[in-house]
Amino acid sequence: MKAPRRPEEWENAFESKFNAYGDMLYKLCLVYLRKPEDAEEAMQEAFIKLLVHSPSFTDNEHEKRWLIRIAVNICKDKLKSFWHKNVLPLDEALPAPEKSGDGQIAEAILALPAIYKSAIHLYYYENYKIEEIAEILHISPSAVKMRLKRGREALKLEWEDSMR
Amino acid sequence: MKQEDYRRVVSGFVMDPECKDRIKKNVCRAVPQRNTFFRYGMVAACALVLIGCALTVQRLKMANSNTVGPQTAQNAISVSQAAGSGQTPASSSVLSSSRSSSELTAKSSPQNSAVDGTPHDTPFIAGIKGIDTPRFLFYNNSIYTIGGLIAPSKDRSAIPEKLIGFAWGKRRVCTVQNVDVSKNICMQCPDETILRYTNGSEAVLTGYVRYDFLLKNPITIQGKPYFLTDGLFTTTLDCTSPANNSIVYTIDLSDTLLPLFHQKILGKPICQVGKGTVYSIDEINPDNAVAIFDNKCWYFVVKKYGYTGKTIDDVTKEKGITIRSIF
Repeated sequence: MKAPRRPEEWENAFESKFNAYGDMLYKLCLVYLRKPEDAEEAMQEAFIKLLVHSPSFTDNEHEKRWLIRIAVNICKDKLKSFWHKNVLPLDEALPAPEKSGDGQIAEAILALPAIYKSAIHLYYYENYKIEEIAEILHISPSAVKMRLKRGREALKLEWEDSMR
Repeated sequence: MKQEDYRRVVSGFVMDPECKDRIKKNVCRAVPQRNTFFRYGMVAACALVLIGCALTVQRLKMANSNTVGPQTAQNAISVSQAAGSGQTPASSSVLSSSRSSSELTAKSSPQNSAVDGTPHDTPFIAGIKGIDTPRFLFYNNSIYTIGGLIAPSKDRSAIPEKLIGFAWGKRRVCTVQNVDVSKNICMQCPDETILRYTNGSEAVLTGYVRYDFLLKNPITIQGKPYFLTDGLFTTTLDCTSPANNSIVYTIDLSDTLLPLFHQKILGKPICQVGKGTVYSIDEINPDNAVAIFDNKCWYFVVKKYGYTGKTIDDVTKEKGITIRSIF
């Protein structure tokens, strides 16, 4: 992809990329970071990297995988950041709302350990195969299987806890 | 929980409708800046590297300009004054004179400068550190060796690396570069190379100086000659320069003849010895000096402070030489 030069070219490039991958990236980042603001910020950073570096891709799938990888790394960095570790969100300090239905499932998903989130999300939501996930995350397929297994177990526990 | 549950729940994670506009605004503002920053950052880094390289090259050039290899020592002599070291003359016999310029440039041919009769820069006597009696007269863009052997013929290794210059009153240390004395004058020097390259980068004297060259090409230094002397005859050396009306001589001094003096003699001939005339040394004044030629060297006597009591006649008899008029 050739880097745009004029402002309108930047806008058009962003528009096309956002329409193609924006929703996917937002969901991935939100699952990771649990907060819409953080997800929005991570997604924004991923798009900036895409447009600044303008790497060449073989096809759209290649580009999508590159973006997923970048977004996962950004989310990991955010989770490791000093700010994220030392700030207590206000909503967590508030009394929990009444739990019911999808809200409980969502809470279980968001409560998953970060290490399992990417594998679970890519497998169950993006419908990637284990080998593809391994390629995207730069881990072995067996590691993907293990993360899926442990992620499912953790999700089950979380869900069961939320049902109580 | 089934996959459908997961997909249904995650599908419900919908971004704020204004999220796209916010991100678009931020991205479109940040990307060109980052891109520009990267581009100009690279340009700035390259510029800094180039400036650094240019400064390094310039410094190397300056360093090379101060160091001249022996191959370039052909026709020019430059005497660049180094920092004063407060170093005492190696020999007590070193004579000195004042020197107005801190740097002299010498040509290879003494005739071009010495015989033309034009007043020039004052002579400048330099000695070589570590060697007993040699002196070099820098005068009128030429270099002359006056006095003493440059180095013992059996031990050429004694040639020092640097030519150390001394000026009367204020000692100076000079480094001579690019010296070619092949056509200059040296008294009592062997007719072969008297100075060799001793340092590949600086302070080099080279060439051939023949004694008979002096006889065929007497040096005349006119204008305001400096009379550089003090004392008695010695057997080791003397350089003279017979001239029509003015002479600059040096006389070699033994280490026992202290202190050193220099006499400045101006104007008319300073050396006029009548046939058979004997002057006591006491009676010799700067305007009435003596030069003696023994068919080999010119000897010269002037008033000496700290008279020893000997007369010229005593000296000539002692040395077995004959006083002759040089005019």
